[in-house]
Amino acid sequence: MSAPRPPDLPLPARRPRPGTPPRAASACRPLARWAACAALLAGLAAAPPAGLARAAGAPTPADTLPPLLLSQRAARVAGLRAGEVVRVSADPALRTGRWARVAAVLPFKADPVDVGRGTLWVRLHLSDLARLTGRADEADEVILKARDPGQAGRLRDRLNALSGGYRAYTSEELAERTSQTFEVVSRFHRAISLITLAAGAVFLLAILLFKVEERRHELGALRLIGVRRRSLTLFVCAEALAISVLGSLAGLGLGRLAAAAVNAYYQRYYDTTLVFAAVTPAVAWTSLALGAAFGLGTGLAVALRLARVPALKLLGR
Amino acid sequence: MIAFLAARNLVRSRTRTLLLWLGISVSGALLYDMVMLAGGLAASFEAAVRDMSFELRLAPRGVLPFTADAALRDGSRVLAVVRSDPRVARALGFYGTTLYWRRPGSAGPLRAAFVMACAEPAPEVFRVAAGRLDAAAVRGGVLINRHLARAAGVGVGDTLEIAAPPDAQVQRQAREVRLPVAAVGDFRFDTATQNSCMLPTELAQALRGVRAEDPLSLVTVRLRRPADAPAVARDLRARLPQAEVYQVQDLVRKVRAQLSYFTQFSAILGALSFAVAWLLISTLLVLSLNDRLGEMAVLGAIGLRPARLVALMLTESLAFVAIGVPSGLLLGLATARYLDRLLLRGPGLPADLHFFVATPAATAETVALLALAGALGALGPMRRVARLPIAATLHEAAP
Repeated sequence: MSAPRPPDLPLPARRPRPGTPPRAASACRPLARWAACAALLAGLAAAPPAGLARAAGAPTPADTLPPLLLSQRAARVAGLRAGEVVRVSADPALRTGRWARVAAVLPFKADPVDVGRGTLWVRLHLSDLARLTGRADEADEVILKARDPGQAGRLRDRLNALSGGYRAYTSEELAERTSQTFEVVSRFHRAISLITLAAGAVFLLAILLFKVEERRHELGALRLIGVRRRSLTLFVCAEALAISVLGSLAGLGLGRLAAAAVNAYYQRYYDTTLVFAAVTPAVAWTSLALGAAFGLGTGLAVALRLARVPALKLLGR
Repeated sequence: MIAFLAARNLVRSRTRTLLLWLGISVSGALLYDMVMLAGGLAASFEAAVRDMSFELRLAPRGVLPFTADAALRDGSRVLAVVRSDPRVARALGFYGTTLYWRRPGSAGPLRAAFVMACAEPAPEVFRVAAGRLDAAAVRGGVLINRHLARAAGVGVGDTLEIAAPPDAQVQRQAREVRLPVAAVGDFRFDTATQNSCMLPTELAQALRGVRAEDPLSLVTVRLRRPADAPAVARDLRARLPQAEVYQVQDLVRKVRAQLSYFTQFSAILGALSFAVAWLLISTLLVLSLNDRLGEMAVLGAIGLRPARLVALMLTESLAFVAIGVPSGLLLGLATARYLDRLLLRGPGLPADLHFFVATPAATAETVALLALAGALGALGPMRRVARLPIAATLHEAAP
């Protein structure tokens, strides 16, 4: 399985033009070699196929032609099926190129980087792609599997010491580097959730305050007949806690429904199988804990405020 | 009288008013941020693109500029075709690639820089901070951005070594040149940590070993009359079928499509903020009305028509919104700056673009949405006072 492709942002991402030997991957954003072919098909999303065309009278038996794999989306957009013979070219006008056979249409693993881009994926043998693009003996990325995965770091160091033409990374390092975009988006979401929590907290405080205010007479009467302030405070806090926990549970249910709706909509909109929103056990427990904490806190604030008011004043005397 | 009663109700219960102000401020701030986010990056990108004063851009067919390895082959011929159109005032060809740099005599490793090669001075793309940008500078020197100047420790007049990718097999770099730094400045759409430089097109192509192909990554076109853009674009598409011809709105549309995640996200969260604002106003108005039913009945008894009572509820609701809007907008601007800085830390994002852009339209939209939330929040109380049975209410409220 190839290392995760580094995130590529819309405009104007600086993609290097390959030189002759493998170039320093740390200097540029390495692309899997087959990605170059994907760029040929990118135009299919917006215009009639420019780099790929059905064969009109295939010249040779299909099983002798070089094979290519299409992603399901590419096959759908191009209207192709497995077994069909197509002409593939690096020239949008198809003046050059060669015939190839669609060996299979496969569900390529959904990549968050592709969300919104409409990328169409094709896989070719490296030698076939090299012949198509006229760039022989080049690679954007070389993937190694170590006999002993525990020695990956040492292997990386030895490879980096050998030559200046490339840079080696372990899978973890590459994943960390290429996850930076999603890390930033996660932090953004967290910041937004804090602001949303603040709005919710104000709302909860307002509701609790007015709920208690409505029952001033009742609470004043209880104080007059001897119920202690501490008992009333506990009562108000318990009520606030119950309301906030019940509300949090209802909110969790709503959240799950909303997450399902968001996933259904976005998966259809972006034509992907990625999951955009998920209510995990950690999220559920965090929400409940925060709801309970807010409820208890606001209940305590309201109860203490009420406890300072003399009983007769509560009754309106 | 309506205004007097609404204002009096605001000051009657300070706690209630304070909570309402807080709630409207926070939900209003979130709503404002989401409205800004919905169109911010596209607006920022469009402003930057229009600022460059090129009406058309040509890129290899099927890709956006600088987003793939593909290039326009035989770039000189492409430029000649574009310039032959009498409606074209100026056309520039750019070749984008990666080369390596080092200070002469330095024992350190070669480091990469993005190269934007152009045969002519391009002040639309490179803003000079030191040095000069003229034909001689472009032909005989290298223009570098400030980040590269700091990293290399060079200034105007110093020399920089520029090299092609090293040949791993023979352990030496294939081609290199030494060039004087003619200018230091800023490139449009550079990221905050990017090393960038500008070389003559032929030199960059030669270093890359692609001189024979004469590739160009982008051609920018300024027209004598901007209104001719659609017609010129049509003609260029016919004459250059290997090129994608973009007008500014085409680019913006493509960018919007790729940024649709943020647009959708902002729509969802904006709807949530709207709902919170509406619920808050609605709840507080209902609670307030419950306390004041007797007062409403008295007002009805002394001659205020039901329509006036309804107007009173609506005015109170809008007054609630009005006290929260200024602070909500200010808070929204402050949080937007923080969120914008947070998002711009993402790798590969140009430093001169922004996610959150406070336009007059975004501000007006937010105020209108909050007013709508207020109006909708008042619907329940309005309905209740319109149907209030005055005599029965007075009887119940009597001590």
